[in-house]
Amino acid sequence: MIYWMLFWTFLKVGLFTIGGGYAMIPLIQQQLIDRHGWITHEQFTDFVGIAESTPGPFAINIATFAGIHVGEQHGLSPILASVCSTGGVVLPSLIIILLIAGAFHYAMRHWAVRAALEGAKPVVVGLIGAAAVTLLSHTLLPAGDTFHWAAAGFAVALFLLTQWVKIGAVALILLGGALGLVLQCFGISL
Amino acid sequence: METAPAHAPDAQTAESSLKEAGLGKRLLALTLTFGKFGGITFGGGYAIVALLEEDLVRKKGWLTQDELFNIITVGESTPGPIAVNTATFVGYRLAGILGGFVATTALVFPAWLVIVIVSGFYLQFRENVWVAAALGGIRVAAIVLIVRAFLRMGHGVPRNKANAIAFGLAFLLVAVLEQNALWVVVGGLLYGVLWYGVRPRLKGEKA
Repeated sequence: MIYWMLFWTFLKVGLFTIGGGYAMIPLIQQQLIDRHGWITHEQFTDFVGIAESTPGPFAINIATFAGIHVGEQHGLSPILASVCSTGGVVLPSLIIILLIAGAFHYAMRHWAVRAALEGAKPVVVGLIGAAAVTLLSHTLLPAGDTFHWAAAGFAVALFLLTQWVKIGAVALILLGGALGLVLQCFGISL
Repeated sequence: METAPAHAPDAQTAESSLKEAGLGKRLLALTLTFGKFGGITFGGGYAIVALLEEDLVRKKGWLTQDELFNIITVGESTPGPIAVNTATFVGYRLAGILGGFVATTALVFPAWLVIVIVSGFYLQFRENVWVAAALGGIRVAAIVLIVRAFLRMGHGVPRNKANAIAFGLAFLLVAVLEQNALWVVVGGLLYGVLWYGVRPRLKGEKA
């Protein structure tokens, strides 16, 4: 029963949050803390912190974490519980996107659809720019702290490197992680 | 970056060559690619957009930049995380419904696995100096990737005053006023219908 409730709860979270993982925070709080009482506010804050420091979409991390926690709490299999919560949060978008992707080819024949997507292009570029600026400001100006010169210098160095050397996206991420460790050896934390 | 790097293959031929490959080969390619993305994307949904731009558009040529724009637009205006939406969409484009399932599962699996492993000792994990150091470096690298995707996708948009205003408004609404991206994208779709759809037709009728 708990498995089904986890699946159903996260299905709703997946269905009703549009526009990025962080948009789902209020709904998850309302469902998990207020409605079911599965977790406390402090635990939720811990979940958010850990979701930010593990790979993958935020929504998946949170759903998995909550599934494991609730599973352990009720003496069930944490793995199976997390599969239910994670599956639930993914399923609505999977089905909706499959439907849209199937119809996309036909929809593109209509001038209004082509025009609408053409108009969304500059907006998408604006969103990517906004994501970059938001992440930069969080990294370079941490709350209640001074300007992070080391991170700024590291960002500029990495950017210039990619301009001169052909380096793949995955290699760049791994290089960033490795250099973070190397800098820590010299007492510089990013 | 003014032009595409020399190593970028011609997008259309590359995509069709993958489409000619057997289903098993395509599913394997999707699994490896999205599994990799799922394991290294930190820093929100746009990290995966940057990876798609670098890896699938520039390097592998599975997608054209126009298709990537469409995928992001659809992803932002439908429920669920944008990373999941893009994985499903790309998977479907390359290998049908099964491809959509496989790409999505491959993206989700590493994220799920890491939480399953870490959940037992997450407080120690979070406070570990070396984990924080590696994550700090990865976060900066992700930002660099997003900035590069921003510059290159910016080059893919026609330069005119209306687009400049749409771009500026979208940026301000999300970055400064912290509005939900959904409404901003819906606004962009409406702007497109009016500016690129209705306006030329009205002009055509008058002439």
